[in-house]
Amino acid sequence: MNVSTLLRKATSRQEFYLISVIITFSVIMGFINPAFLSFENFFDVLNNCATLGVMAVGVLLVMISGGMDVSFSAIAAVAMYVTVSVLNVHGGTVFYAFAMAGIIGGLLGLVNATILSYFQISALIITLATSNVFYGLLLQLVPRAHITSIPKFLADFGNWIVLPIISFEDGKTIGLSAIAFAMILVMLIMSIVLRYTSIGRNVYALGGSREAAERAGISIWKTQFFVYCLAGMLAGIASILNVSMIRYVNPFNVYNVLMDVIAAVVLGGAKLSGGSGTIFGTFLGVFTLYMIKNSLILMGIPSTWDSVIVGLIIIVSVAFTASRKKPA
Amino acid sequence: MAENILQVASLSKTYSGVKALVDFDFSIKQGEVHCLVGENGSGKSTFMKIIAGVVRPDRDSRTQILINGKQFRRLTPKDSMNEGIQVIYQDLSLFPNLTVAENIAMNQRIEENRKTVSWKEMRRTALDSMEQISVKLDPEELVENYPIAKQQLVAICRAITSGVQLLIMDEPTASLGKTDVEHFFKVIRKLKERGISALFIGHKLHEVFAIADRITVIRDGKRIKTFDSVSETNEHEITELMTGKKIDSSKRYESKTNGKPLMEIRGLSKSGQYSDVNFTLYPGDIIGIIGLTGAGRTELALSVFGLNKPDTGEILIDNKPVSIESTRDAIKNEIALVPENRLVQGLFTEKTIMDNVLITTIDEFRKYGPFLSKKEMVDSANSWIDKLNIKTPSAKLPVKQLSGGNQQRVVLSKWLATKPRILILDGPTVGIDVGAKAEIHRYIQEMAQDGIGIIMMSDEIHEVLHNANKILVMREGRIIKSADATSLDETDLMQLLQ
Ligand SMILES: Nc1ncnc2c1ncn2[C@@H]1O[C@H](COP(=O)(O)OP(=O)(O)OP(=O)(O)O)[C@@H](O)[C@H]1O
Ligand SMILES: [Mg+2]
Repeated sequence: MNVSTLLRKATSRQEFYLISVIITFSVIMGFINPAFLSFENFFDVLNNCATLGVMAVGVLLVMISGGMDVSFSAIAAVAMYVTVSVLNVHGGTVFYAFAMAGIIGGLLGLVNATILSYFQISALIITLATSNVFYGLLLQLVPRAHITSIPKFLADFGNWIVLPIISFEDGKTIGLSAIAFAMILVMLIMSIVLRYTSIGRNVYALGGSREAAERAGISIWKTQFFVYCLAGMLAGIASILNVSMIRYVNPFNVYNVLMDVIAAVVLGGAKLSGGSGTIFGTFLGVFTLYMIKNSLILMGIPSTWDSVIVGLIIIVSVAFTASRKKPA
Repeated sequence: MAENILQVASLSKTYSGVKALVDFDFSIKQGEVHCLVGENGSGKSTFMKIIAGVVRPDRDSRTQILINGKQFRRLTPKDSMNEGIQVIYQDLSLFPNLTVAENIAMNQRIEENRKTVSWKEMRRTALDSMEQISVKLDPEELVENYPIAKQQLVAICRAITSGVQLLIMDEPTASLGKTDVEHFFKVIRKLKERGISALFIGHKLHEVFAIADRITVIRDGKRIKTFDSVSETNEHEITELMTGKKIDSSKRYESKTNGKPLMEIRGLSKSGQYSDVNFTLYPGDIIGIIGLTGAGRTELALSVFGLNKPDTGEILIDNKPVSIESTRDAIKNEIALVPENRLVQGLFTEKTIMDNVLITTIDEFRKYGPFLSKKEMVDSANSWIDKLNIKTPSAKLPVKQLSGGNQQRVVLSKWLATKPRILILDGPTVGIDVGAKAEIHRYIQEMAQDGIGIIMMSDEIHEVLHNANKILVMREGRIIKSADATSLDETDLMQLLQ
């Protein structure tokens, strides 16, 4: 393979552009504020990306299959509230927290999948509806769904640095946090699932051509259950990462990450029409999105501009993905 | 004699009132090639899809489906594959977003119920299968990046991976060039020697006669006749049985070429595709460009339509040099292109026939400000349905419910409706049955006589000989012969194409 084909391949991939954007951005920000290029900031960004990142993996999966899920943030809100309230009363471990939230999320995802397999209507409409139902029921049953104290083991988990790099005198350590590690683990596992398992390849096949998948004997039904349940489960898991980090249950905050996550996934190169997208791209999408939002804060731009920026990012990246030159 | 690998009796299929298949009987013996021929919409694809397990036949207690001696009540795609049935669909049914290797290895993976995939093994499977039919494609390339002819090869490779007992092919050669067809037929014969059977559906009768052991003719969903040997019949008889009428296609096109040149191509070249192409198109001309796949004719067509920028050379329209760098430019210059890969490209299959046909000319129906005149739209769509004889109960039917050949006609009418001055047709009758072919040819000739200049790319000698008044033979990107059609005959062309 010579340089020109390599270049041609590279420029046909969204990852290439995202890395370029991240580098350029980091250099500029580094000039403005050298603290930006510190290890500390890097790990901080990773830590803060985790909730978004894990949810984005779920949404990516759904999008690759040619579907859509806008209910994951409502699912996360419900899973988070229920899990923390139960554990506050009964106690437990971090493992319980993840398992419980994951199962709740998975079950709500199952609701999406079931409705979808019975009625062949747009997944966007279905999940929009279930999102309202899930979130609405939560607020209906517990109007003040805030919880200010969380189990100690979750708070500890949020503080845990699994891979310390630098330790300071005052006891502060910088390094890979358990939260960031969890995200990376989820991404690694899902990359392997998507690339090396039949079910993972079926997700791509379904997104590429539903009819061809049907004719090849791929079970559409099974594949859809897999992606929607997994998306729900990942939303549940993400919600626990979120609680451990901010030590406070506020369903509203989680519910509102919806657009951020979708923006990150499309920014990462997933096509709304299905069939393409990678975990690495999504990771870069999340990273870039967070970096942009974070630097808005650093530059002192009011956070009310956030949604404008996110909206613009969605438009630009969808247009860019659609117009990107194919190789050959 | 060998036993039947497939035997069906009294098979019927009704699509919301349309009888696609009526009490159909059919059998395939071990190691034979059984060809199924019939007009567009006669039920061929429907039959084949039932055997593939993707379409469910009507409930009927008399219906029998025996595969390898086993009786099947409900057949799923997986059952069918497990019995060693592999299918090449009319629309290929590939995964455009996946690599060549993964596409080829797909059926094997699903059949074997694997839980994990090995990319190395998929690559090997793909290379093996490509070697069998002597094709070389990059296994790592995405299928969507290949042109239709190459995609068709991918579909063929996928079907001949291990374990095939019965190969079902729905117009597998529709977009293949002559050499590829020859290779492909060699493979079918090789498979036959190994005792593998084939069901071949096709419209090119000379191909059918070259490969068939038995031929069955189907009309309006009914089996008309089965010939137990090709020597019992001939192309004429088959055509008559298919259409129920006699067709005379021996007349040649006589142009009334007149006036000034419409378009002139001077020294057009594009490295690696074609070089130094020159010709002049007059109103009333039908220039037939014939060449095997890879000769550069499709690339040339795309260049004239603004989709493939040439390196050097000029295009003149009405004696003035024009630059055609996009389809917009082409349309502005009143050029239309009917592309080669129609079934894959150029149709909104979920939308109605009317929407598809009228999409290119929708502005003409604006009668009341921004509002469209529904009645005129329906009338216009119906007139196209008449002209090209599209077999459908209504203009409001979604295109995906039409048979393959009828879908082709929809695309054709969509472009003809733009009333171009210069019309480029790339394989205008691929996938269209013999009877309808003659009608479409007649229509093309009429358009030329009305003063349109037509460039017709084809790899069918007959099509070019009988419809063009000038013929250009292309080979490896060069025009190796340019002559009046009357000065050439079939053998000349055959020799030039060797
Ligand atoms: N999904 C569908 N819904 C409704 N009608 C259909 C559907 N598929 C096919 N038909 C109708 O069934 C009839 C037979 O179609 P079929 O596709 O079997 O024809 P065919 O012999 O393969 O023709 P061709 O040579 O054009 O491919 C046609 O009248 C077609 O319109
Ligand atoms: Mg057909």
